[in-house]
Amino acid sequence: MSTLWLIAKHEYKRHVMRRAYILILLSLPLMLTLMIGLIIATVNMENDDRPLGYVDQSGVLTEAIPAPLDSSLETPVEMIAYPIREDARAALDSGDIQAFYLLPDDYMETKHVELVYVDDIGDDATGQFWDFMRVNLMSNVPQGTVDFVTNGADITIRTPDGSREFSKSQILSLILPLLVGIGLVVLIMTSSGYLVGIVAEEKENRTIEILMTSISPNQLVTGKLLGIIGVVATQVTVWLGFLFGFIYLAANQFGYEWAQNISIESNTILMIVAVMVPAYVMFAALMTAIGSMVSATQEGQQLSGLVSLLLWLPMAFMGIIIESPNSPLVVGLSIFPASAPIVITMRTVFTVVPFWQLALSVTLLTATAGSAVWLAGRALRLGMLRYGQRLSLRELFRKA
Amino acid sequence: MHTVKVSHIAKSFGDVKAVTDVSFEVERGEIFGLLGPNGAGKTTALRVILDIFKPDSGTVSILEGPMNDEKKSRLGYMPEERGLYQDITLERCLIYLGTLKGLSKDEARQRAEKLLESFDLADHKTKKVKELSKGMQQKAQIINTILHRPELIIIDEPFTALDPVNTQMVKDLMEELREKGATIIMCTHQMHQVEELCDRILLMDEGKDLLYGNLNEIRKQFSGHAVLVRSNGNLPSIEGVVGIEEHNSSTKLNLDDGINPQDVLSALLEKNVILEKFEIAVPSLDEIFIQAVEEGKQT
Repeated sequence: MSTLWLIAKHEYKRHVMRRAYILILLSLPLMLTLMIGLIIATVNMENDDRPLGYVDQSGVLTEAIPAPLDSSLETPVEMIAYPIREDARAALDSGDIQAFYLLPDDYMETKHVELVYVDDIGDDATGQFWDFMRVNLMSNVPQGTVDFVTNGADITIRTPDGSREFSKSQILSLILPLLVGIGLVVLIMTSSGYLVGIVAEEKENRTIEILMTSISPNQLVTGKLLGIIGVVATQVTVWLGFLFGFIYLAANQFGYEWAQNISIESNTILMIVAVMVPAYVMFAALMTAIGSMVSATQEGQQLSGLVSLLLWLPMAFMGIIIESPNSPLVVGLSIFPASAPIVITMRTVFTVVPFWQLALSVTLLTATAGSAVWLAGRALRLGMLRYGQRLSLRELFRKA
Repeated sequence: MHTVKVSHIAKSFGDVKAVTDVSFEVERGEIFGLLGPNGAGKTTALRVILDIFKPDSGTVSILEGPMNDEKKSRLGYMPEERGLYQDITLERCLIYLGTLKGLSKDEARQRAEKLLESFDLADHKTKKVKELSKGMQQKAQIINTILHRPELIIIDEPFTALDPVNTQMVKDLMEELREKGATIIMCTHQMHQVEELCDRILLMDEGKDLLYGNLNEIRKQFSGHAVLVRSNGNLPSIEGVVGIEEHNSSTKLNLDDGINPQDVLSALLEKNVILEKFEIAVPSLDEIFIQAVEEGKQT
C-alpha cells in the first residue's frame, strides 16, 4: 500500500470519526429539514382546509369544473355551491365552510365579488378559488390559451451568439454557478480548521519527528491534503446528496416547476470544475502553509481569517460586477487568482465570459495552486520543528 | 564499517549556532552515548543525522551513504518526550506508525501484540495513548521504535519516567538488540546508565565535541594518581602520599610521582592496617562530565 494512501487514509479516518465532524456533516441537512418542516407546519397551521362556499347569481359557474392544484403540497379546498345567500350564511355560521363568495348578477360587467367570512381565510383557499374562477370563466377557450393567460408568456432570452439562454422557468440552472462559487467559499471556510491544524497535533505531540524519520515532508503534506480533500468531499457528497434528494422530491413528489426544469449545460459543469478545483487546491495549500508556519493552532486560525477575507473581497465589487460585468476592473478581478473563482461565477450570471479570459484565469489559478502546494511543503519542512516559534515569511522565502 | 559517520557538521538557526563543529563515528553493533549539558546541541546533531535538518556544512553518512527514503525504514528514532498520537488507541497508533516504516498491517499488528505482551501493556492496547501513564507511554514509545526491527536505533532519554524494574528491562532489551547486531545511539543525562551500557561516547558542549572515544580509555585519561582506601581504624602516615581527602565513605590518598599503588598497599599491610577496601581511584562519568565541561569553558 503506498505511503501516500496510508497517510491520506489515516488523516481521513481521524477527522470523519470525530463526533464534531459527524455533527457538522448532519447539521446542514437536519437544519434545512427542520426549517422546511417548520415552514410547511406554519403554512398548514395558517391554512384552513374547510370548504369554501359560493353563491353564483351571475351564472358563470353553472356547470363548474374543478381547477387543478399547483403542487401536490396543496390540500384541495372543496368549492360548494349554494343557491341563495341565506343557505351559505347558515353553513358559515355552523362552521361547515370557512367563507363564501357572492357573485352578483352583474358580475361580468362590474367584476365585483363579495366575500363573507368570520375569520381571515388562508392564502391557499383564496388562490384555489381564483384558479377555480379562471378555469370556469375560460371553459370554452382552447387549453393553450388558458395556459398562456394563466401562466403568462415564457420568454427565453438568448445571447447573440446563442451560447447562453435564459428562461424564467430555468432560474435555478442560471444561478447555479453562483451558488457553487458561494459553496466554495463556505467549503474553504469549513475546512480551513482542518487545514490550519494540519500538523498542529503532530507538532504538539512531537509525532512529527517520528514521521519525518519515516517519510518525506512532501509525502506527509500531500497525503494529509488528500485525506482532508476526502473529508471535504464526503461533506460535499452528503450535502449535495441531500440537495438533489430535496430537488427530486420537490420535482416529483410536490410538482414544483422550478425543480422540474433544472438542466445544467455541460459547458457550465466544465467551467465550474476547471475554476473550482485549482481554486480549492490553492486556498487549501495556503491554509496548510499557514498551519505549518505558526506555533499554535489558534494563531493559525486568526491568520486564516485573512485568507478568508480574500475570498469575500469580490463581494465588495458586486455592484460593478452586476452593472458592468465586462469592465476592465471586473475582467482584471476575473484573472487575479484570489478573486477569480467568485468573480467568474458571478459574471456568468450576467454576461458571457470570453473563452480567452476563462483560459487565462484557469491557467493562472493552476500555476498558483501548484506554487501554493510547493510553498506548503516548504513551510512544513522549515516550520515543523519550530516549537513555540513562528516561521517568518522572510525565512520561508530566504531559505527557498 | 561505520553505521554513522559525521564529519564536521555545523547548523545555525538565524544567529544561533546550535552545532558549530562535531565529528564522530558510530560502529556497527555498538551502543554509543551522546552526552552533553542542556543546550549542547545534541538534539540538533541527532536531527541532522536523521536528515530532519540539512547541515549548513559538513557531511553525514548513515547506513553507508546519505539518507534516503529506503533507509528511513531501517532506522528507529525515539524523540525525547511523547511522540505518539494522543487521541487514538495505542494499538492503532503502533500499527499506523509501523506501516509507515514499511510493515504490512498484519505484520505490524502481530509484532505490536508480541511487544505489548512483553512490555506488560497488552491490557492497555485499546486505551487512547493519552490515557496511559507516563511510564506506559515511554514503554509504548520504545515499542514503536523497535517494532520494525531497525538496524540503527536512535533514542533520546530512554529511561525517563521508568521505574527501576522497567529501567532494567529496557537496559536488557538494549543489550539484547546489540547482541542481535543493532547499532544504538543513546542520548541521555543519566551517566550511570551510560557507564553500564555504552561502549563509546561523545561529550558535546556548546555545539562542539569535547570528549570522544572508548569509555574505559576516557576514564583512564581522567583518572588521577590516587587510591581509595577504607579501613576499620585510623590510617597511619604513608611515605609517598602527598594528600588525603575524604571521598564518600572512603579516604582518597593522592600519590606522589614515582609512587605506585602497590607500594602504598605494601606499606599499609606492613603497618598491620586491616583494609576493607583498596582500589585505584577512577573518576565517575559524572565527574568526568563536569570536569570536561568546566575545562571546555575555560579554554
